[in-house]
Amino acid sequence: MKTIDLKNQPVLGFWRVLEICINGIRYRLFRSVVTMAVIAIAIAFMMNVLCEAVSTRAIALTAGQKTAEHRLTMRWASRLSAAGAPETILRQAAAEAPNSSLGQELRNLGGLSGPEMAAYAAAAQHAAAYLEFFDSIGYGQRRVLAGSASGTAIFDRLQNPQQQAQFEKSLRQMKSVRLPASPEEFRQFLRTWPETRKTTLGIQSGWTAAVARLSTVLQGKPLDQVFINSEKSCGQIIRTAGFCSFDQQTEAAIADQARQLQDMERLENTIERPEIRALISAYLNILPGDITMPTIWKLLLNRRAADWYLDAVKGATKIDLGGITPDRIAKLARLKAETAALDDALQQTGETEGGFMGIGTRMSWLVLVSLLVCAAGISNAMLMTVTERFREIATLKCLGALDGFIMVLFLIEACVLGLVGGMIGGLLGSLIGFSRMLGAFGALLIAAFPVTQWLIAMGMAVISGIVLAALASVYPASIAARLAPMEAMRIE
Amino acid sequence: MTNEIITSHAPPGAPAAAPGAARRVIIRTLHLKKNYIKKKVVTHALRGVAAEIYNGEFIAIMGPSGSGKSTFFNMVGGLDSPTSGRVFIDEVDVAQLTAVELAFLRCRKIGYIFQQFNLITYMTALENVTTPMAFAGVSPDEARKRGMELLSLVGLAGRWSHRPIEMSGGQQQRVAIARAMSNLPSILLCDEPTGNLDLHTGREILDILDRLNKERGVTIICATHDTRMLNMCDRLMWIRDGQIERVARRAEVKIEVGAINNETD
Repeated sequence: MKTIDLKNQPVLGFWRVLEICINGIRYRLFRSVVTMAVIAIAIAFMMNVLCEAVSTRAIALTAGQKTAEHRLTMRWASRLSAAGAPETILRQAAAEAPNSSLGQELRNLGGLSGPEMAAYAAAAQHAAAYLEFFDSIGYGQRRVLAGSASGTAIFDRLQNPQQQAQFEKSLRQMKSVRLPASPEEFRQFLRTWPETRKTTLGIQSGWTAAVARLSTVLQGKPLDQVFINSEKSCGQIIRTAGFCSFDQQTEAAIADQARQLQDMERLENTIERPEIRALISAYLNILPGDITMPTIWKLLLNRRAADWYLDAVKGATKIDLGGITPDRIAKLARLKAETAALDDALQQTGETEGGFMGIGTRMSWLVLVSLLVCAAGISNAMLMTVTERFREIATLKCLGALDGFIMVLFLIEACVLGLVGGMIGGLLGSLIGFSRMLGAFGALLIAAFPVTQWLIAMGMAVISGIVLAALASVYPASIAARLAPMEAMRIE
Repeated sequence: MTNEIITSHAPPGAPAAAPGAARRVIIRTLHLKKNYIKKKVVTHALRGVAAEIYNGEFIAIMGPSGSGKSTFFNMVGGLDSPTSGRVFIDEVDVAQLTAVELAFLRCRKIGYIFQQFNLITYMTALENVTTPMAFAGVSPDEARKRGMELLSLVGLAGRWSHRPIEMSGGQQQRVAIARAMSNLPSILLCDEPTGNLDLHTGREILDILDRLNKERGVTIICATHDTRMLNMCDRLMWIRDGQIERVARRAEVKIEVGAINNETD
């Protein structure tokens, strides 16, 4: 018996197969468009959710940063008026490098040498991790582990060997609670704790002494008052008192903010005057009772209105607003609006969800279900396509097509549909998601626009479209591939 | 057993042409049986068929529907595997072939022509003709050139860019013939090629097949009900109830069934 003289069956090039696929898709355009639309809708939903989650997070982050900048004065006022608690000191020492300006300041306050500070920072890092641990576990569990103690008092309490044994026993019994280190490491930490505690208290007392020195020099005047009066050397005074991280930049920013606050206050005081109220009510044509602070600030955003207001104040009362120009008023109004928007944004984005990219568990489930439904739809559509094309597939097999070729043909067709559907869905979803966010947060979204995250989400949308379509088509494609070539002979 | 008797009887009808030179057997079937089992009911589609088809022959297979004609046809074309028995195509046992080898066989050894034409609807005439060449690894330029030659052979060179829906049935079948010939197969398997065509266009198709057979020496196996086929085929094979009822040369048939011919003409 002769064997067949088999030359290698060539594998058709990818581009040729793609060409055949696209030809087929074009020919059956309506069905393909419907399949694509199914993919696009599911992907659009996913992309919408992703975009909103991503931008919520970015907005929360930006708003948080900006608010922190705005509250610089407040932060420094509290830092300069009283020493921090031991927990605060430990956390600061853990978060900052020993040679950063804040680390330097702690070192000066505690009167520590370089190596001492380095050792203390290392110990503080452990302490901060354990503090974080005790804060994160629930109240009931903390009660069992450490009794009524909280903060560093827990470490003090566990110095007692009996308490420590009790603690370790309870910890072993709790399956859901994990120390951030091994029990041995924690024991080691507890042994060194008295030393760390002593240093911490040393820093605290140094801080208290510095605060006392400062208040003597400043004669009890509040900080913003000091800055508004612009005593040139006040930054120097604070640094001399021991707060060496209070640099020129901070000084300038605080002085600026203090002046802004003062100007705002002066402006707001004028509005309280009845004669001014009457003028404004005439100008805006509303009842004097309806005039609120936000209305005024909104009005003052307009430079011409600000101009008018300044003249009105000058004319009606004899109050001198000092160096406040219309430009300054408009700027303050903008600042006020920005702060209000930030507060608003922080409130709205307050409960950012966890989970993947901040989608939240419930939303993830919804997205998953929608993708599954979409997969069923694609599978069904592809199955119908395959059934419809039985004759064509069988003919191709008669002409010498391998099973693999048929499989690849259908999978590539699905991938093309997935690619196009994914891109359309991605763009549609971003458009809807971002326009909703734009309506809610306005300029803040543009400032915080998460370009990288969006691109990642877009890539994910396209890839999941392709993968979804390909996975859903595996079964229909395998049916097509296994089809017997003699189906071509069948007559309907 | 009756089957034994049938399978053992030698295929009647000697090689038609070229007296003296023994012609090569291109398709040989031995004890060919095929059962279809559906819901535990066994249908015996072929009950042991032994046939020999010679190289360069034009053979017409006739038989009523349900006779096993299509099943025999599928076996011979390597489209289906028998329950028992063997099919040799060009001395190669089809049952021994792997899926890849079968695809190879279908691609280069056999050309198929269907009653329903079965052109790929979204391809132009030329693309339809060149698709099997792509499977055979012919370069696109070469395929294009050969495709145009084949299209002009069937008289459709001017319509290479038309899609099947833009062509008449006869034209579609001509494209299908060009496609079947694209890898220069030695066997053309035609399943009622004129079944869906009117008399005139059917005539054209038969002429083309006849020309391919005479000029190029292609073996043509043709399942048909078309009595005009009798005038051009070398041999006729009747199948009934899964068995070969009769095999005869054209000359004999002319004489013997002259009466029937007169009736149908």
